[in-house]
Amino acid sequence: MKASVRLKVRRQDNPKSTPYWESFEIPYRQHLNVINLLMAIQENPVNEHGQKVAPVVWECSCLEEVCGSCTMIINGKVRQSCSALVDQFEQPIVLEPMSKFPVVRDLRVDRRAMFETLKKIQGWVNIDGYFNLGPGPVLDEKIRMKCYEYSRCMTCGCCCEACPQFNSRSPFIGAFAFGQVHLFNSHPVGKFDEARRLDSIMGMGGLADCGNAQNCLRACPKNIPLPDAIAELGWTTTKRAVTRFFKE
Amino acid sequence: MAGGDHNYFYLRRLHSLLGIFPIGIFLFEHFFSNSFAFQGPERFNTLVETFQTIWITPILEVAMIGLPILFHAVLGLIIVYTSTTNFVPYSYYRNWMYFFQRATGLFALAFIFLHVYSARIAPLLEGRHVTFLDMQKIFHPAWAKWFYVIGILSAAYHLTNGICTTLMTWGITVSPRSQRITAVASWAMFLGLGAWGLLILRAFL
Repeated sequence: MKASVRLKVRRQDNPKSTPYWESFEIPYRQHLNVINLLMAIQENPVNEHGQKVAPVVWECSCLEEVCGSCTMIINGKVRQSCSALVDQFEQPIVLEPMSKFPVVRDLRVDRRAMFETLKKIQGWVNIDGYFNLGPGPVLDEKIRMKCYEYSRCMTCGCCCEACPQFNSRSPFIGAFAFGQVHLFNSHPVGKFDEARRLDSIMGMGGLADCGNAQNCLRACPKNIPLPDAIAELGWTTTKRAVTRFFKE
Repeated sequence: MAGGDHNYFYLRRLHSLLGIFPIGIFLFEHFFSNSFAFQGPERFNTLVETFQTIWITPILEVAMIGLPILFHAVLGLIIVYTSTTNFVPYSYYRNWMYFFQRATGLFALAFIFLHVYSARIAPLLEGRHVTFLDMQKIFHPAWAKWFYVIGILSAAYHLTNGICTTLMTWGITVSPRSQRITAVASWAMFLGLGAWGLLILRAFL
């Protein structure tokens, strides 16, 4: 049995400072996850050389892989740290902040770009007011099952991090956005705003910028079929483009 | 979003469409007509003479090949510029195809530029048409043979994988199963087209 877990963290003191590596040794217990390791550092912030350092900063909330806030790069691949079990990784376990979002401090990043995108694509269903609207429209069970998959998106950023097209040189908005456009356009009430949502993904950085690398499918912790949504929207945006060109 | 922004969508769809028609169709035509090289120098020279003395040929060359390739190349370079590679941590099939599509696009562009210059523009400046012998001279240096081998294979890959991704982009192949089938079909097409191109090259050596 291993006596301790070796952890290597890419740290950054503030958004503008230079990142550096720092290693830690954490006493081994059974069934540890990466969050436990970070909590152990918080309790006893001492690096491998025995020096007292500032505890590593990270974000987490639900601890059951549904909120997405603890997303980081673990041994080279992006995922949630709460569901990352120490026994499944080779040591040292290397933690890095996501590279496609601005670092706030250590492992904490600013994913505001994703939320701005959700606002732009209108990632919600518009309703008229607060009064009782009566029972909602009936949805085909097959469509409902598909919608459920897209509804599990937690805006964690894995699809963006793993995407070769999502980077600082490209305005590409990221695959999650297309899953949400597809979700809300499939909703009987959400469908009223279909054209507006389609228009919002037909500019620079929109759907046409997808390069079909399909890393989003592999990286998504919820196995959301994002390439399906992208391909479906490929056809609806084409129809929308024809409509715009000839009829509006 | 601003209305003018939609032009980008049209440009990208045009880019995708031009890659197949007329550029892809032309590649087949080009391989077909160059297959006359299999029948010997005389037949090849006669064909070139016949094709290139029809008055409409230069118009078609510019309008149906030159301009579409120019547009495809300019937007293609922007697409390459906005891409990155991350197949080391994320070594997945389509991610590799994404990388190769861009790499072959760049190589094919350099290849096409030199190929068009040496086999079409240079003879034209001398006021004549390219001959079987000219082609043999072009192929003479060892590097030129390899340059052509990689160039032909790059063009073949870029077209066949491009057809596969065009079907996804336009929303024709949506299901993972249909995308797998078209991926296999595109590889079969690549092998066929690549072998055909290399056989034409060999006919000159």
